[in-house]
Amino acid sequence: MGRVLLKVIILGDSGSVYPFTSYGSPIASIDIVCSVGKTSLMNQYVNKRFSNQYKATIGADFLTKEVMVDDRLVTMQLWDTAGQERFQSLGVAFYRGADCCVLVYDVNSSKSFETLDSWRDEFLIQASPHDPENFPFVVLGNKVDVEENKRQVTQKRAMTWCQSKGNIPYFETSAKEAINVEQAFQTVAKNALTQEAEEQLYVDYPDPIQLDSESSQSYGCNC
Amino acid sequence: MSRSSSRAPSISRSSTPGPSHSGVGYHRSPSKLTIPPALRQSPSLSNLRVHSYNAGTTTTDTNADDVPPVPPIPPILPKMMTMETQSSASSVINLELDNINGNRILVQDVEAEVDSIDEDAYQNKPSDESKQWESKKMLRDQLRRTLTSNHATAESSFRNRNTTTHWLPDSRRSFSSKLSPREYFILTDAGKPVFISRGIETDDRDISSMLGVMQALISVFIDDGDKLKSINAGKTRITFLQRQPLYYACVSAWGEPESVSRSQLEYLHLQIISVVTSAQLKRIFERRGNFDLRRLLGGADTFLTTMIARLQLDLAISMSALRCLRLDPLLRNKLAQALVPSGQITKDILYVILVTQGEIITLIRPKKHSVHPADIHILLTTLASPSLSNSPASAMWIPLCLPKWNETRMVNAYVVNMPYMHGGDLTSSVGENRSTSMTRPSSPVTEHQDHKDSPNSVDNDKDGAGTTEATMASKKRDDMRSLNLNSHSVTLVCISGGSDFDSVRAWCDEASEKLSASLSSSSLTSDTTSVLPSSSSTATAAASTTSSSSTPSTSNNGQHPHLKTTPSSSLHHLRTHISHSSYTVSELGIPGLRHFVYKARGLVQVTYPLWEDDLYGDIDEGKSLVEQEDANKERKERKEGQQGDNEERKRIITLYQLVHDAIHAKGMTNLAQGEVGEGLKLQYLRTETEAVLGWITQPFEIYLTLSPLLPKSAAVGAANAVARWVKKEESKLFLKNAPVF
Repeated sequence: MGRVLLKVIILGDSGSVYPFTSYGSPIASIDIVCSVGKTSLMNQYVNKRFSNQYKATIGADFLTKEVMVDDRLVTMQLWDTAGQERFQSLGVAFYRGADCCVLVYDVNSSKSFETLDSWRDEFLIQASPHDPENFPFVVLGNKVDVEENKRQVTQKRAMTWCQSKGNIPYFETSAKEAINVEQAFQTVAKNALTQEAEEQLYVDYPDPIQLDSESSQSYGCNC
Repeated sequence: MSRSSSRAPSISRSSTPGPSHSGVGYHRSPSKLTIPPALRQSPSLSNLRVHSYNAGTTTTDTNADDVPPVPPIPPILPKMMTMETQSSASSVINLELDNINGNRILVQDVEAEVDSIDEDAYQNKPSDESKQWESKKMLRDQLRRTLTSNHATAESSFRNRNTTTHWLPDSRRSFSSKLSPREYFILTDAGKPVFISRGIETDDRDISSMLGVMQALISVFIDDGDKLKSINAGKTRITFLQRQPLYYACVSAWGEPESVSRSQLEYLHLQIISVVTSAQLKRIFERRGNFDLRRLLGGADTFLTTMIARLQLDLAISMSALRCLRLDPLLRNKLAQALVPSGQITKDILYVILVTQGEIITLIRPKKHSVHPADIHILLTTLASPSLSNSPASAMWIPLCLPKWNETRMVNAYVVNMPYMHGGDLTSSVGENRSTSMTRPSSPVTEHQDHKDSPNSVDNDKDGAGTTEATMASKKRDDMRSLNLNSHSVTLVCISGGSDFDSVRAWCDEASEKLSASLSSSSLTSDTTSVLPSSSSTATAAASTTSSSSTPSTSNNGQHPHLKTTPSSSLHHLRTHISHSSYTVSELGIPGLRHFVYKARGLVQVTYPLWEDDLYGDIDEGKSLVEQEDANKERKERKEGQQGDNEERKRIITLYQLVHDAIHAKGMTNLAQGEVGEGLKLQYLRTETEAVLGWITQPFEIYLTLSPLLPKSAAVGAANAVARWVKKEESKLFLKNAPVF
């Protein structure tokens, strides 16, 4: 049997353009310019395996990374919605069956933090997980490498929000400086695996069939 | 050839590859070069479809109409130019070309169906979402473009071939090109792997990525309320089937009709349902969309693998019908009577089935239930899978779901392997004239010896020993052999719905005892060393010397050494008959006829002769010396290319499927015009190596493989002769009037 595949969705502002950008030149990548740095995070985490060959094609990036979680080798499939405006081109079918959702905001942009609520809600609507209350989210406050005086969202504010949403794990990261990225995704993998593994099969032994109760069917073969 | 005809590959254009083909000297009806406009006037939106009509084009065209005009001859395929590829069709038996209809039916445009569905989908789109619509359109454009360019690099050498040879099996272009195995993928709608035919132990990350792309592609269309049906990438087609919560994909370059790939995926779905039931599947994924189905299907891979093996080569599945053992109707009836349940037990029993060699001997059912062939194929596949066919148990309970009967519930199959089938018996029955070999039949040693018998495999051994390909081939043969092994036993299957295991078992044991009452144990042991000379039957035996040992149905041919048993039991009679039941095409004595399939439509049953080792063995009288040499050379090439006999089988089966698809006019039904509701009754398709004729009438369908040199009138004559022969043998070939209870 193959190893476990974990589907992880990464969400956060990317469509709204705001004037301040912490790193990257405007022409380098539209994601970096406009977004909270989801792609950079994935890039940093997955490292040399980065490839954006699917982005233009299907409206989302994904890349895969193999990780050890509690001595188990799992494959993480990280889905990035980079370059897309909200769910305009991506919908239910993309998010179906996600094992974890990573919400990313830019600590230097309150707006990107304030939209986390709607990202979370939209995810729950789109993916409609079985147990929304306990669905594993992880929040990342990215771009902490930028000078302190430009910071708009305090750690306390972020953590308060996370607590109010059912103790979502919170990490402050920097994709640029590789701060906390590994740890954050390790938590993602771990929580996703927990979610994936718990609540096992529903193997009900089949009820006996009353043959008589079946309405008679007529197929061709009346041999 | 017009520019617009570069879209939508069709039989007619494929088989008449343009003006410079005229060296062949065959009359072609001009009408066949044109296509009814209706088929091409698909909505322009359908160009956003992922069908990359011209995968060889490296440009970034987003519209199929921008694809440059197609040269009439594929430049890379000079062989095509010399190939006698001919196709014609007629609604009348004497094959006069009916121009009015002739140009219509030949256009077996499977994509027409897709396009018309798209149109509906788009029409349903609310217009106020224009902005979103724009972005989706872009996405589709990109998607299409990417697919086109991705494949262009790898396959640019086959530029434009999909317009001329798209639907043709590879082997029609060259014998040295092998049909690469089809690949099958099953994933959940979350994109998680369920089953991968190439084996999941290959680079998991690559598989994950591939499945991710598949899921994403399908999702793009689902979110539009649309369905992705297939992607054409040059000669390769990726066919998708969505059966929530599962997605199925088949990657094939064989050139079979899309309907065939889709039906194969449907069978895989049914096989999965047979393990978990649709109700359980639904329940699980309603609760947890991220469920990893492999947990639940643990051990079921073998069923899927077996099903895939059968899907490649089994004509009964292809024709959605049952294949019955040829048997004296009196004996069949006698066996059936012994198996009719009576009394209390009838309310617990659904079907009683006696099978051998994957063929039905008899099938007893309640009055009010008929049998769906798909259910029987699911059952036979389950029984043939190595985990069950290699089981030493003489009887077992198998819970399974027969999806066409009731896809939400499990039934229990009580499977009794008839008592004489134990260890040594199996070996001697497999190894013809080598009863001393006591190795286990599935072991490589026996495998090796077996193949010494056939001239082809000797070649294989010489050329390919040690190569991975040879290993894989032998593994495949092993798989086939396990089908084969199973086929040597006579198996009684009793499907019961109730939980009264004991009474069902008791009844079955009693029934099987009735069948084998007079088989004494002493006769059993002596049998293992006795050998029945293969000359015991006439035409059948003669064919068996050339028959392939790797085709499953042949090895029973006149080589059942167990038959010197006490002659009184029905089972004994049955076994005597089994050894003579298979027939070769030579038994019919029809010149030029190489193989055929006959489907009795009312009975939903097929019959077909054994696949002979070498269909080209008897060179037609009409052939010139040069042609004979050509044929010999081809044969040699084929052997040098390490292609087993299955290559020919695959090719011919694909041709059958093409003709079957055409005479059933699949994919034509959705045409708005409704002009082409039905295919022509008769199709004739000629390639370099053979001609295939398909003919449908009210009571039967018939498919013939003939020498390509045979005149059409003779082909039609052969079809009539086969029909007459089947009519004469009907009572033996088909299961009729089986008792009901």
